[in-house]
Amino acid sequence: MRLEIRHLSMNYGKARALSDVTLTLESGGLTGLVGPNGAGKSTLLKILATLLRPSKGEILLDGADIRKKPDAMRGVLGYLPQEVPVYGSLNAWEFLSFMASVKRLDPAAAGEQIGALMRTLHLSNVGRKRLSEFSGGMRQRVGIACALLGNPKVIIADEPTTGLDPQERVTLRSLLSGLARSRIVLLSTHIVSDVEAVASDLVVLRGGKVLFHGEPEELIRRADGHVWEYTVPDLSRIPAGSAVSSAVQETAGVRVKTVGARPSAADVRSAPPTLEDACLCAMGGESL
Amino acid sequence: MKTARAVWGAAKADFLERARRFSFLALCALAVFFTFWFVPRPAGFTALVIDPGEFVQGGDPSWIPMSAAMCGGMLLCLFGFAYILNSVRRDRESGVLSLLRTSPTKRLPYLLGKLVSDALLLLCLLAAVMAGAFLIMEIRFPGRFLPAWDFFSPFLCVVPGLIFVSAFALLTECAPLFRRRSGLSIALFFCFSIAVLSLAAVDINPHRLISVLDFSGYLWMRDSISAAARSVTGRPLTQISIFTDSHVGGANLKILAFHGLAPSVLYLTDKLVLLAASVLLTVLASRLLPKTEKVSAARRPSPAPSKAKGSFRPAVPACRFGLFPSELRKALGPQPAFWWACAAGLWTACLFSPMETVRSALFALTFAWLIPVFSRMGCMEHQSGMTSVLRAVPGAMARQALACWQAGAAVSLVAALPALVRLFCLADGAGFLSALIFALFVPSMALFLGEFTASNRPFEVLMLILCFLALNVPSLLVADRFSDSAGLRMNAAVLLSACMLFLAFGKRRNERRA
Repeated sequence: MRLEIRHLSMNYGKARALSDVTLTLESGGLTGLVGPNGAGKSTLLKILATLLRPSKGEILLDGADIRKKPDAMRGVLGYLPQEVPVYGSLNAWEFLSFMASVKRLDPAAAGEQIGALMRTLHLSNVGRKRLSEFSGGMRQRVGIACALLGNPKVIIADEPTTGLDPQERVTLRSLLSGLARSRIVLLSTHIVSDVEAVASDLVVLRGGKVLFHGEPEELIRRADGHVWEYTVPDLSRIPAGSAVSSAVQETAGVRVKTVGARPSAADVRSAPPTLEDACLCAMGGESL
Repeated sequence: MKTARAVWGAAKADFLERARRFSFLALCALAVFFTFWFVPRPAGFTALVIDPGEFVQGGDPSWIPMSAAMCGGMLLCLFGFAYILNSVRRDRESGVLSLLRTSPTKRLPYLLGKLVSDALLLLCLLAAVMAGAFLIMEIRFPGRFLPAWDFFSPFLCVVPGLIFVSAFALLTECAPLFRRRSGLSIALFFCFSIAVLSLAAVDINPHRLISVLDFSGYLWMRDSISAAARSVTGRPLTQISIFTDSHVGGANLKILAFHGLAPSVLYLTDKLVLLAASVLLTVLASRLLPKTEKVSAARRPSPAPSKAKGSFRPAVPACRFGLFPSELRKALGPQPAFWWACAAGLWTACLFSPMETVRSALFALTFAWLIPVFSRMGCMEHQSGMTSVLRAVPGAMARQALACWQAGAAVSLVAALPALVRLFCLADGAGFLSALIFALFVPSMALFLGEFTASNRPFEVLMLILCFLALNVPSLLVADRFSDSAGLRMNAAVLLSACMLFLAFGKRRNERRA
């Protein structure tokens, strides 16, 4: 499958949320969408999920314009919103059955798939418990199962790791990575480590504009020479205006990693960039 | 087939979601309880009065299903409407509607599912009324069973109306005109008007449109009763009314028995038209439900906070009534200009209309119009999650509740002011006192119900019933003289208000400790 986004713009009143976004996504790898809060990630995902109508531009799914034919997308979409909506009085099985009928799945096949998904996502033992009694992580897993119902060809997940414990995050990342082999999977997050291990394609968004689109290694390569490491006695000694990527307390003081222009500290040395450094560098407005 | 499955899936999930809630079970219990109240009595305040000078009131078991269907149908169509009026809004607020929009299911199957679910909920309540009627029949007339048609047909007459009310509720949730808070008032007024027009149609030949829109089935039942009465006395009825005072008639009273609904092609056609209108309203609602999420200019990114000037100074406690103005703004602020215009119209009408009109209709209508203001008292904090913030501030839970009640009481007193002033000038002590007590009772009830149920529905439903009853029995709100029953009502209202306030504030204090 091929999803082409061409010159997409979105305005909320006078404020511009997305500006001339052009991207092409293909099945066969997970695409990570990273950006700070307010970058326009959720807006872009909602437009792709046909929840919002863009102000300008077109989106083609295998050549079909989903602005004009939203059902072309809806028929193959699995959408996981930022906050998983549920009916609190239903249990997981009932809610998933409801979503299966809404997705127009065959009842017998849907039953089998619901059972399999509940086993995969460790929901089998709580299948009869009401959703209102679920923890945030469990509710998130129900949302994931919901998105995966009907074997969708396009999966859009808006910050799906929110509320999950570290083990669940790893499980989810592996699951999405496995699914991405034959599908388009777009995973939005502001936690770079979520996409670091699994994304083969990366989009960095800031202020509604695409700052980078390509392989994560390419972004890291471009950030080379923009990451600096030095040690200061305490945090207050960090030069003002520095974009701090990490700060680790050591015996000799605080080892600080910054991105951007070379800071005016004494023992500054260039450091190999990680994906997080590279993203921070790109989002900080560095011309990479 | 897939569409039918989608309709059934949406209906089943929505029905289970709401039927499993405690509030629904409580409502079913309330429906059974109300059925005991629907039993006709020979004298005093009663559910059904038919020519008291001619017939023994409630002298036959057939009176029980007839009065239960008549009163239950009227109330179910009104407060049932208020009860089901949030199925789409809840999906919109919880995000389920967004999920549905990303699926291949169209808007019409989704809304048809909602229609089925809403209608099923109301039918369950009707079934509770039926069960209550059957129980009472067994208690009052043991061993005297009615034929199935005599018992069930009055209830069947209500079913199309309940389906129509469900469809109308969906329309009000989808149409932009009704989606705002004043929409509830407009929609309730529409239902109110139809109910009142149906009742008023007793002495006149009803207009065809009223006959079609008589969703409670009152007119058909009334004509069936009339036919039964004619077969006994040979002449038409002179009086039939529901929820009113009955006075003991003369000697030689006859026993009147009904035999279910009298077959009528005209009324049957009306019911079919009502069903067709329900489907049309649902189709219209599906056209009005936006395909995508609404883009709001309010979502624009907020500007970066400006740096505080000067040194940081801790705030000092404001005056004791500091919360009152903000609570008043919270209650009245969201109301649109249209609502204000109608409220002002009713207020002015209370000031200049004949006192009898104020007493019998305008006073109750003014308070019915204020339902959206009172209904969020006490529950707004629970719905928005503000309670967790308020708990963190010393004494804020109780202070906020107090300010909320003060604001409600102020609004209520201002609304009742024209009537109070006129009653005072007329030296009508009973009327003045009862109206004043009612004006203070309303915010107390709103705060209590909002606090304990965390929902605005129970207050809306109860207030609607109260205002509806007041239109039939004006002395319920504004007493016409000092009498035993008026005194009892006033004392009960004062005691109930005090208890409700005590419990609401007590709960707030305990929450603070938790």
